[in-house]
Amino acid sequence: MVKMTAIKVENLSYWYPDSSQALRGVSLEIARGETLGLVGPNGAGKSTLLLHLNGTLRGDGIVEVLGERLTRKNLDQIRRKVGLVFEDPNDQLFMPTVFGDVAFGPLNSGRDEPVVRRLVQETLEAVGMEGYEAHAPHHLSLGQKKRVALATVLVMDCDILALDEPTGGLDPAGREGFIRLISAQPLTKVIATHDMELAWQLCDRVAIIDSGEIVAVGPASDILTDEQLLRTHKLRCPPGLIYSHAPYSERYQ
Amino acid sequence: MTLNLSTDNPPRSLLRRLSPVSKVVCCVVFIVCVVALPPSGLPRLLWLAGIVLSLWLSARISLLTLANRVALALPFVLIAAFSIPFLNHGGRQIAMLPGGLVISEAGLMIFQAVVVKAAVCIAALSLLGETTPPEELLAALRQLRFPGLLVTILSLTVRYLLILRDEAQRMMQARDARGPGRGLLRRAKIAGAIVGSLFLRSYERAERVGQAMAARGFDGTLPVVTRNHFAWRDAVVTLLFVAATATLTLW
Repeated sequence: MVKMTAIKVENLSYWYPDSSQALRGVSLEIARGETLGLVGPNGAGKSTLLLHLNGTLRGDGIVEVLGERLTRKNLDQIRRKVGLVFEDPNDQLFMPTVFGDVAFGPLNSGRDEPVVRRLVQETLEAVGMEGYEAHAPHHLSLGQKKRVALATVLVMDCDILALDEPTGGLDPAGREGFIRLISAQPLTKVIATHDMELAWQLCDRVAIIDSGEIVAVGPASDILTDEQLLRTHKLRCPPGLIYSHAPYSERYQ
Repeated sequence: MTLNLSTDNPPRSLLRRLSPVSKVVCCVVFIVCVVALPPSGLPRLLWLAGIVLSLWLSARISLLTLANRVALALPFVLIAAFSIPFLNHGGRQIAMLPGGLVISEAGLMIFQAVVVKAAVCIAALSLLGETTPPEELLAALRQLRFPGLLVTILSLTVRYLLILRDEAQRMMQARDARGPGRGLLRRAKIAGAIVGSLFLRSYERAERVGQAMAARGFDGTLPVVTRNHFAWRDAVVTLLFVAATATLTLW
């Protein structure tokens, strides 16, 4: 059986307004239900590529989501399918209360108030943040903010989850909990990170991006064990591999 | 600097229970009345001040908080009102200063009225802020058909003010950790750099927030579910308050 393609990027290039080039002819395919890790050093273009997946940024090239080519016309529709979680939850949580933030998307797509209330409650329960509806995002810890940020896109019932540095800044327990939460979502996932252990735990395939170019794509077990390749691009093998040769994901469960 | 935007554990006072819509209306009417008083109406102004003070006490908030709020805003009032005594208002001249500056009796009276009025208005607004959580206040403005764009801007300001403050504090800590620098000019330069980089950071953050909003279908108006209650009780309280302040002002 041929796997359906969730996202297809072809020859995508992007220049920042200051005319420095962030993406150089990126081509990438992500299958439905697959988890793809996008690893690379700081400033490699990971976040920029993620911002293209839901049309927030528009570069030269083709982006297809679930078989549909992204154009100005179907932008709103595509944005509903691709849930983008930003690296800094403070960018994502812009309403005065947690409830307002999670309700923002569904209300914008014209859902009725009772439905929205139910959706918000269910989604907050799913991320373990029930009872925080009336809290101000400012008073939450980073881990809690990340959970709420995830809820703001899950509530949209998206097909694809695009996560930018999901574990950045979390303490070990918070990190583990959040990884478990992500892996529990039965969606296609694209995860931009330089947390190599996270890539090892969650990803089926890994793509290395450096200086705006995809330099390698392959199964996680191939890419993340190729120390030479990783070192060339300022990355390292996941620490878990040093202590055990069994895939970390197995020990983790 | 104390900046408290949340009323997490409010005392259950009458003011806390009153509909935010009523509170906003009463506050606006009150401020209009205060501003409309002539400079000679000091006794009536003190009556109005008495109303705020008694409401403040009934809300069981510390008077120190009131003093803090007024003290925080008063310097700006003083700067704005600084020139009033020197303007030629006629009447008796109290003092002649070098350079042809004259302080008139009428000028001093206006100055005094402006400062007291500003203090009373600040107290009224602080009371509104102290007894109403920001999101209820925003919802009340929307219910009163306040322009949507302004409410959106206010809402984002409420959300990001504290983040900006934290960011500024971190930068100032970083500055202090490396030595505060000697000399007024040097310190001023550092402060300028902090303000500048705070501006740039906010600008970049605004871009990212905009992207996050667009990603969730933002079309220019904030969708809001929070709606304040407004019962006949609130209407009665509002009418009574408006009648009382208006009578006091016009009488």
